[in-house]
Amino acid sequence: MIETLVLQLDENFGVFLNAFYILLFAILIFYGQRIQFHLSMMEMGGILKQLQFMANHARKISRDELAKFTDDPSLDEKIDRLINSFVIFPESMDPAGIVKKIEHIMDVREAKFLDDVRRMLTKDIEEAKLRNYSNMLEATLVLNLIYKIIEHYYLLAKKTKNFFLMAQLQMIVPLIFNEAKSYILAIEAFRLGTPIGDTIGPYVVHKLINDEKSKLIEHKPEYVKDTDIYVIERGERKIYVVKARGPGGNVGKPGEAIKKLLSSLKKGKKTVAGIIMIDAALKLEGEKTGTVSEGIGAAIGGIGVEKFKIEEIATKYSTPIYAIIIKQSIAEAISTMKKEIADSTLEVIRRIDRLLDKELDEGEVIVAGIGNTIGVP
Amino acid sequence: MVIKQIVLQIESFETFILMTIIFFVVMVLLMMMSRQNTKPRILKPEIRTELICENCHTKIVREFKEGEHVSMRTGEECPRCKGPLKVNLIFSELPQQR
Repeated sequence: MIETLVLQLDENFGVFLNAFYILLFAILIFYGQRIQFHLSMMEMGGILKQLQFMANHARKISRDELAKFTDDPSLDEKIDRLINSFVIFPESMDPAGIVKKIEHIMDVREAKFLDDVRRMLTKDIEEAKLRNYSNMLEATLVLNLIYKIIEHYYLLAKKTKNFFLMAQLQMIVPLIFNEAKSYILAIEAFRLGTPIGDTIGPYVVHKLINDEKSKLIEHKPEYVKDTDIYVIERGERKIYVVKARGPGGNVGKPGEAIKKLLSSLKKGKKTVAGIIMIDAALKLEGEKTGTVSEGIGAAIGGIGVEKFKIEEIATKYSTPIYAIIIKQSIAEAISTMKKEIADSTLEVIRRIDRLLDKELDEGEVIVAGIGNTIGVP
Repeated sequence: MVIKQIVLQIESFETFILMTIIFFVVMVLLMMMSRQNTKPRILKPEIRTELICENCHTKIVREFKEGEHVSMRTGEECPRCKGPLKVNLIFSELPQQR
C-alpha cells in the first residue's frame, strides 16, 4: 500500500508555465476587448432575462387582476394590444402651437386607454378601481417597453459585435434595472389602490381642506376634466384648492383648472395674492426622503402641457407662483407611500400657513396639490 | 492500492502562476453563474393603514385591507372611546423597519 504519492515536476514544467503565462498576456492584448465583449454580453444576457421575468410577472399580475372582472375569452389578446400601444408625438420643426397639439394627442390617448380598459371588463366595476387598473396597465406597458428597448440594443450590439454599444448598455442598465424594479412595486400599489409617493401633493391639500383651522365653503366637482376645486377659508384668507378627483388613480388637469380659475377670479376683479403648488420631487442620492423644500415656479412634472398653461396664465396676470416640494426617489414616487413622506404633511401645511400669514400680499390664494391622487378622495 | 496523500512539489514562482490561472478561471465561472440568475430579488414592503378616531383622535396602525382609501370610515370602533374610526393614512414599510 502506498501512503504518499509525490509528484515531482521536472524543470520543463516551469518553462511550460512561463510560456503559458506569456501566451495569456498576448491573448489578453490582442483579444482582450473581445473577451470583455463576451463577458459584457453574458452579464447583459442575465439582466435581460431578469427584465423579461419582470415584464412577464407584471403582465401576469395585471391579467389575473383584470380576469376577476371579465369573462372575455380574448382578454390576453386585448392586454397585449394595450401594452404594445404607442403614441406618436407631433412634429416640432415648427414649434409654434406644439403644446396644443401635444395636449390634444395626450387627451385622446388617455381617453382611449381608459375606454380600452373599460371595454375589456364585462362585469360592473367602480370608476376609481377602473382608473387604478388603467394605471396598473400603464406601468405594465412601461415594463414591457423597457424590456423591449434593452433587448433591441443588446441584440444590435450582439449582431454587429459592437463592444462600445454593449459597454454603453452595461453602463446604463443598472439605473434602468432599478427603475424597472420600482415599476413592479408600482403595479402592486395600483392594483391595491394605495396612495403612492407622488400622491403627497393631493394628500397634503386633502388634509388642508379637512383641517380644523379650515372651513369648507364650496366644493366644485369636475371644475375641469377629472379635477375638483374646493373653496375654503383659513384664517382671514379665502383659498381655492385645486386637486385631481380621487380616490381612483388620476392626475387631473391642474394646469387647465388654474388657468380657468385665475381667469374667472381676475374677470370678477378679485385680487389673487399667489399660487402655491405642492408636489413630489426627485431627491438627490444624498438627500433624505420626505425632506421639504421651497422655491419659486410651477412645481409640476409630466409632459409639460399643464406646466406651460400655469406659467402662461400666471405671467399674463403677474401672479407669483410658489412651490413646496417633498423629496423622494423615483422608486418611492411610484410605489406605496412611505411613512417618511406622509410625515412631511404637517411641515408642508406649516409652510403654507407661513406663506399665507406672513409672506403673501392681501388677496385670495390658489393652492394646488399636484400628483396622482390614488387612494385619496 | 490506496493512495492516502498526493504531494505536488513545484517551485514557488510556478505555484504563483498556476494559482493566478486557477483564480481567473474560478472568477469567470462564478461571474457566469451569478449573472445567469433569472429571478430578480424584489423586497416587497408591507402595507399598513393608520386609523384615527373621529372623537378622541387616537391612532391605531394595522394591516391594510383591500378597498380602503384615505378618509374612509371603516366601520371599526375606537378601543378607547368606541367612536368611529376612519383611515388617516395608508403607508408602506419594509419588514426590517419595524
